[in-house]
Amino acid sequence: MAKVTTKEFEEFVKRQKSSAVAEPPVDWDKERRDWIAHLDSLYKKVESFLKKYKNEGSIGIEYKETELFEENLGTYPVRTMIIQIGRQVINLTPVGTLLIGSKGRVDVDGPYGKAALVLVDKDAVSPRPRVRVRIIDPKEKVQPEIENEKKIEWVWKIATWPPAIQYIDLNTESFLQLIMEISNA
Amino acid sequence: MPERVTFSKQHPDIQRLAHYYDDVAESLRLYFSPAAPSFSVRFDRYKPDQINNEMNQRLAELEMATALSIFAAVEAAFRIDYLQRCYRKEKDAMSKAFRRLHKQKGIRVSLEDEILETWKKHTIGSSSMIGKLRAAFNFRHWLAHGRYWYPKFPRYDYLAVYSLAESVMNSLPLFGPEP
Repeated sequence: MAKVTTKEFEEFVKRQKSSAVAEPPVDWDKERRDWIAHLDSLYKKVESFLKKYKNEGSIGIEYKETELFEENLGTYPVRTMIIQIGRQVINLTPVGTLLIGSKGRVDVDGPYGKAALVLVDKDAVSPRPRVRVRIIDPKEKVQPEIENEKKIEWVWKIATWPPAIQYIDLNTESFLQLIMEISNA
Repeated sequence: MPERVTFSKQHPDIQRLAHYYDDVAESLRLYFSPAAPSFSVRFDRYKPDQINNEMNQRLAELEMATALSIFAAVEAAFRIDYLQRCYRKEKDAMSKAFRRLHKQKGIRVSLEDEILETWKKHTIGSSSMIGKLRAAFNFRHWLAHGRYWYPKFPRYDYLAVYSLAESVMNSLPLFGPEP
């Protein structure tokens, strides 16, 4: 184990303390419950997009339980959605809350590609932080400039792949197109 | 006085890395598909699942290699900015703090504990982003040091790393190398 000096440890404690003071406490249990509720609403939405084909028996939908680990939320069970179209299988797998400005993400894996569904603000069009960064003198007492302080309305959108990550509204048309793209149809 | 660094201008660009990723991923998908001229010879006696598994392994390897290069691009961007703020003698408080650090340590500064912490201390609005970047660097260390231990941090991947890098590099006023 690498040797840590008392000074290094004191600096570490100071850093942790200052970040704890600067940010309001987060109710992680509530965050996890909200995230799971949003996941359920996504699956309901996808089921509604595919209802016609499911009723005809041309598409099968099932769920598999899996575990997700996140630093603040811990380990918790989530459902993976499996869509079967003929011999093609498409998995919708929750991957948590890693994107900036996003509350969660679900990967959509098909035989010929991958896409991502993200839970973002209704007005978001790309993963841009809402706060403006400005260089200051640490002695100054200034508040962060939040570009738009309106209440966030979380909705599911399709995220395009880098380099130009864009968020596209999720509806029947855009979801069916996504399925076609990752199935090479 | 520490020796001045000559910038190579060969540091990676995240957009170019994204195009590289796209081209290689698409090439791999074609190589593993019946449309590839070598398919029948290369995958003779393979079952469809085996082909799919092998392709997914290659794609996962590509994701990790590209993510590691993106981390390198982020590190280069912060280190170039650090040096430029020292060389250009900018008047803001952060540049002054960097010059004090440079006097003591030259180029041997820690990205996470010194450069990123100085950014956090001398900027407003960057705290959450820098916190996320520092957390993501656990993934970078895991990749760079051989992935031999079970990671006790959330799952990162190419998309998450790219999106974080893009947000950081577009939001922070980072100096690039001189033209």
